[in-house]
Amino acid sequence: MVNSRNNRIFQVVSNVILILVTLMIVLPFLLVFISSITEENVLIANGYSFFPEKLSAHAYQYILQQGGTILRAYGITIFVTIVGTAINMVMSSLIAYALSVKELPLRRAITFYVFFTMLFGGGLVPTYMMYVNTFHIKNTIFALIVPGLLLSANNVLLIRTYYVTSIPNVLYEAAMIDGASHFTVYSKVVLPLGKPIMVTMGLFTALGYWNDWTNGLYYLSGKEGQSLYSIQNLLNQMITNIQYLSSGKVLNVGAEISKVPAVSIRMAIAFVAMLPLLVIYPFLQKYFAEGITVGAVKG
Amino acid sequence: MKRKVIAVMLAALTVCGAVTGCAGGGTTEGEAGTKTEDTTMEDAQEEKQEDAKKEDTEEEPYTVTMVLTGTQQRDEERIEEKINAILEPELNMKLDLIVLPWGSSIQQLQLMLSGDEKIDCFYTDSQHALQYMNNGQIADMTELIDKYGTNLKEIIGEYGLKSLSVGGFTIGIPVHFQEASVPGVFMRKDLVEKYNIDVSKIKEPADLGEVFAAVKAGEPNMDMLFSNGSTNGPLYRLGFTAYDPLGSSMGVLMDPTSGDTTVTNLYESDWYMDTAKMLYDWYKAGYINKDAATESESWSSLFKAGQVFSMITGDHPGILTEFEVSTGYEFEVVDFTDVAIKKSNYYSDIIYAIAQNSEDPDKTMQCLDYMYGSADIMNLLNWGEEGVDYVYIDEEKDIIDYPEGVTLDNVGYSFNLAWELPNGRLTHLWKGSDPDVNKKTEEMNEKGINSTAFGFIFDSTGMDTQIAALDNVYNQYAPSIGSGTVDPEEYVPKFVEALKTAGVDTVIEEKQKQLDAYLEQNK
Repeated sequence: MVNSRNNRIFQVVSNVILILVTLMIVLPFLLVFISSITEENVLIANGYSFFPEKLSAHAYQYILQQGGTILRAYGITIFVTIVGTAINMVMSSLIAYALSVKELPLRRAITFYVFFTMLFGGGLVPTYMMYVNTFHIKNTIFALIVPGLLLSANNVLLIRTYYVTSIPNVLYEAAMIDGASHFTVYSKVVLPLGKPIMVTMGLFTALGYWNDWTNGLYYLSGKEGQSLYSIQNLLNQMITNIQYLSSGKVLNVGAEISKVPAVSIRMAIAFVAMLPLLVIYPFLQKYFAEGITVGAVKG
Repeated sequence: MKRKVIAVMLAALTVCGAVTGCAGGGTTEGEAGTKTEDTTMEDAQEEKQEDAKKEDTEEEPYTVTMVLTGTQQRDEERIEEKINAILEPELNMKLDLIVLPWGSSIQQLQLMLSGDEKIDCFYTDSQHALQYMNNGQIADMTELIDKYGTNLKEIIGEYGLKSLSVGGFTIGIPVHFQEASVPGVFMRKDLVEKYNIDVSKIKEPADLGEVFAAVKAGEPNMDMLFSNGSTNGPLYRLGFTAYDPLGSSMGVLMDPTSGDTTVTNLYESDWYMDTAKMLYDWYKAGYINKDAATESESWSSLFKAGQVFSMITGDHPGILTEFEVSTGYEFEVVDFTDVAIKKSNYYSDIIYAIAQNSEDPDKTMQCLDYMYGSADIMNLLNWGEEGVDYVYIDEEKDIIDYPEGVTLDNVGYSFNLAWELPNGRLTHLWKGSDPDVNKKTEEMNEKGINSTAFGFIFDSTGMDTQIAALDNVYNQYAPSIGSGTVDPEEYVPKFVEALKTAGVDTVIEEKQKQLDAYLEQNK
């Protein structure tokens, strides 16, 4: 009896805490959504509210009507996320596998070389000059894929550690004894068993690509560049523009301000931008749990 | 230990190897795919063209890359073609426009100037131009102006051109769009009439208190005065004739027409304290928005939403139209003084500079000078193409409007930033503008009194640490004091104390030294 009573208290307390935490996460999303369907003038007069006086679908109508740029940016974000994540995953897991093989010559040195990039970066201006002058990625789609995100040392090392510690060594040995080459081991053993870490890292990478706006800011400019803007670039540009224009640093900008979409439209774009990730997340959830519980060697 | 050292050295070796290897591979093999091939092909073509140029007497047109800030226009190419149709026969040049977004233009421009990208001339202000000068990123324009500045000398005048010379290095050329302005209050006309307010009784800012009280009584949900923590805020705008900021407003000239040349700390002045107190009283009475210090919504959307009754701003001919168009309300305007003060930044606020990266500064300068005199190019840049992006509704008075079926949302080109262009005075006037706005502006400018420090530019080289520290202090205190949301009796002394700790006195001392030298030179 005592046990079950303790248990009930535990259940109640933990549920309350979890509900509170969930609310803290869900409510901001909800507020963004409600703001996006609030009448613009109500929004400015009363501020953000969960129970607006007047609703309006104008923001979404605007996105559909004026959608050329927004839909295009959306397409670019999706393209960059898929292609970037795919290349990133292939490259990261190949390096990670190589680094996990103990007989690899110079293994420690190469690992350190990968690790070193986590400690030191080139700084913005040298990096910019290298990408623009040497690699000529300015105003191309590569500007959104290559810099910073294509290969991350952090991902490589986490994947390598997973391959070393969570996949039992005997499996590699068994495959080798059966005559498998390194590539077969990689594709037939490591990749299937490493699915949880790949999904986790893939999600991080995809999130990185989806939310990235700095690369677009640095490497895309002018008409050519702005036609390649991703949805986050577009959003960032709108927000920084309105901040700048309303800061009073330049005068005579009445006409410019009226070109910036209103608050509700900005909220609607933000909501549209995060929607796909909200939808995808639950489907990937099961892999996170699997990573801990499932092993190939029993007993 | 030894093993570790070897490992590190090996790693260093691999780093070197990989870096050089990558760099080489990138350019020759074209890792970036088709685009790289495209550019290398273009390079090759350009090289060929350059070779051909040597043989041929006919010169290839030089392309001037001009960087502006604003909203990207959909039909930019079409307008560039039209401009080139003028520039090519006249000067054998072409124009390539790059428009950077407002929010990130400073960062992007800095990166473009750091790399060796093609950029010839760009729009900036003297404070940034000074930085670029110290980084060796812009060219000295002194000789170029002498050689090619025929239109410039006529339009801006020798005096204005000389005022951008810092220690013999001319950092840029001023645009022709100076607007001297006086502080004034803009009140919604419908409410002024509704509550029978006698605007002739408003002589100074303090008189507004009664007006606000009368309107507030009838409109309890409205804010009486637009206020925020930025330079759009009321305290900053009231300062238009009270002091000359001498660049950064750390060390200013109070009462700039009195002839007194002592640089003092604005935030210790009685004017600052009194004005802040007045705003705080209004705040306590509920005339100012509770969140004013952090308000980020623009004044125009707040007016549009019917949330605000009035705003203090710089009044000059033409601004009333702008207010009415961007808010949808009519306004009653009361100026607090008639005569504007032309401050140190009169010419240096908006300037064009030539980048060090420019392949041909001479031609760039020729092109710029030509543009100062060309109404056709100015109108193409500002309004687009006649008949497509705009039509005349009164050709005699130079007034234009959208063609039928064209609106702000679907117009192909409508840059509409005359003040940013080399000579915005040459552009057509939009429907609803006062046809005499240019004449009136000239009159107002002429009537304006020069500040004692007129034309002075403060060079803060070598004081980066102090400037950064002062900026931080400013951002901590000024928005809340300037918007009227905190008690100045308590916060202004704290602000001044923090400024002193951050080194404001060294900056003021240096400014005084430079100002004295400048005044000595320009006696």
